[in-house]
Amino acid sequence: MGNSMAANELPQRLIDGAQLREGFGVALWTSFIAACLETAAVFACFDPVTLGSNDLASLDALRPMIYGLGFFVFWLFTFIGAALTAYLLISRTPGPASRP
Amino acid sequence: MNTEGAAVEVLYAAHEKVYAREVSGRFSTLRSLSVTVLLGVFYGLPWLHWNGRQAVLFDLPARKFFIFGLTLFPQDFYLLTWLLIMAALSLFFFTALAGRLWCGYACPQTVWTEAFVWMERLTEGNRSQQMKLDRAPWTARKVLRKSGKQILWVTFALFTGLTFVGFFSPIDGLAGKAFTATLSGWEAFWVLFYAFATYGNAGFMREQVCKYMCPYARFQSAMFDRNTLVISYDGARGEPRGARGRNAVRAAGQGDCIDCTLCVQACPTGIDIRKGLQYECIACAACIDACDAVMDKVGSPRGLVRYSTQAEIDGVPTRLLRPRIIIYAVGLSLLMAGFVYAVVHRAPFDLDVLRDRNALYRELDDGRIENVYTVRIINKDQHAHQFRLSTLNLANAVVDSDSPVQSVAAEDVNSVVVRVRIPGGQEHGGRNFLVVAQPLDLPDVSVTSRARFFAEP
Repeated sequence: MGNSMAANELPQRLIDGAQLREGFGVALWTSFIAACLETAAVFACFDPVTLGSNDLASLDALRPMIYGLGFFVFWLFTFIGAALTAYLLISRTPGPASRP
Repeated sequence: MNTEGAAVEVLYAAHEKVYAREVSGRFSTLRSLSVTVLLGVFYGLPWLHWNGRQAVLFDLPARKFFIFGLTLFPQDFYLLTWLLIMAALSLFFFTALAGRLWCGYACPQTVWTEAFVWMERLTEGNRSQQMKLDRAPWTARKVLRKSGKQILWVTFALFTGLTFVGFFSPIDGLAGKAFTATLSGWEAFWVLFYAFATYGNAGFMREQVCKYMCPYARFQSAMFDRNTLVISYDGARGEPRGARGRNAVRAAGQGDCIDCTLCVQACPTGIDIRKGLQYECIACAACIDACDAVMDKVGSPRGLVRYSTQAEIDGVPTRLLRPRIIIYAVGLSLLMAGFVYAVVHRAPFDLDVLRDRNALYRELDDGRIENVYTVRIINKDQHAHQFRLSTLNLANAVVDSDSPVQSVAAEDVNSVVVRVRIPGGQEHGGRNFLVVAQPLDLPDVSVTSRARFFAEP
């Protein structure tokens, strides 16, 4: 199969749109779960208000905003990891072992 | 190459909407009951009051979780982790014992999908009416029914989002603000976010969440064995299947299955249980109810599709007590006992000492060395207490703060700036010591926290 390919012929693209969409969806979802856990663990250990300065108590109202932003930052970075993983798995050219 | 192309096409077949047929029967009643109770708890809990405050409130701005009489602080986070481990182990235990009970009766995905499907039936009618409506051209009647469904769905989703945020921000005020459209930016955002997730998951994604997104669906088979309770079709009794009329004499050798396909039509994930156990099966038992009703009509005994074990289908006795069941049960019991012990014997006070980050140490005019700390006294008790602060393992230390005694209200935290002074020349470099908070009314209880004192090298 692959051996008969002409030298200038591009290898057949094995990724289709549906696979990419599914990979995107799965990455979005798994990174969401990871971001939830990360947000809970990080903000249970660190009070964002005491991290910035010693000006305590007056910033209580800021916490929900910091938690929210923190969650989306975590989601963004875990999504990058999950999406790259999904992409590398999807776009992998099948090796001889996986050929039928 | 062509074979690979074909395989890809089969794996990624275009999704077709599943029109699950409504069924009634024992398990459908049980599921309705479970859905009602769980949704009742979710929507009702934030409105309950306890000791003058919301009974269950995860107060994120104040970093306090109120759960009836229990107040949890960030220091108690390990309890939450513990609880999650217990939840995971319970899931393993019940899966090994009785299969996917969680999926069929308790998973939020199932529960909210049931509610959304109910609203769909209310506006668009039963399975065949829905299919007909979807095929029909856009008439006024179709627009009316479809928009009626959307209005119900969106309202319910928004109410769900509001309730969800009500677990984090007092719901009394929240509901008022929602009706006057004066929610704060973040509150409004999370209400919409959760409403959108509910609408998407329960209205559109449905069984696809279980098939493509749920990790549990993929690994639950690892907990299964031949003695696990699963929903199965009794092939020995049912085959060879074939249609036959009411009270008609069946052909010689014909099985009990009349191939009415009602079990397939009732399946919310669109599978045929007669093909054997499949990972898409969420064990909702709709096919059992559907088949039992048919068996009653044709005069055959119930249970052609039933809760059973692989062992029973194979004619071998089912063993309830297997090593994995015992291991899960013992592990779960130990964890539960430990959890109860940890909650009951939780220290009523906690202490956090943060060094002032601006200066390592300061030399006073009289030659003494001063270090500044922020001491957070956490009072988890239901009563207010007064504390006196002192030090241990630091000779000649004098503790100075704005007031000699620190008052901390019930279930509250008080941050105090504390200056610790020692005579000059006594210490060099750093030294670890303990800060002690002593409640005045409880002489035999005190709480300590480690800190570090710095002097000139």
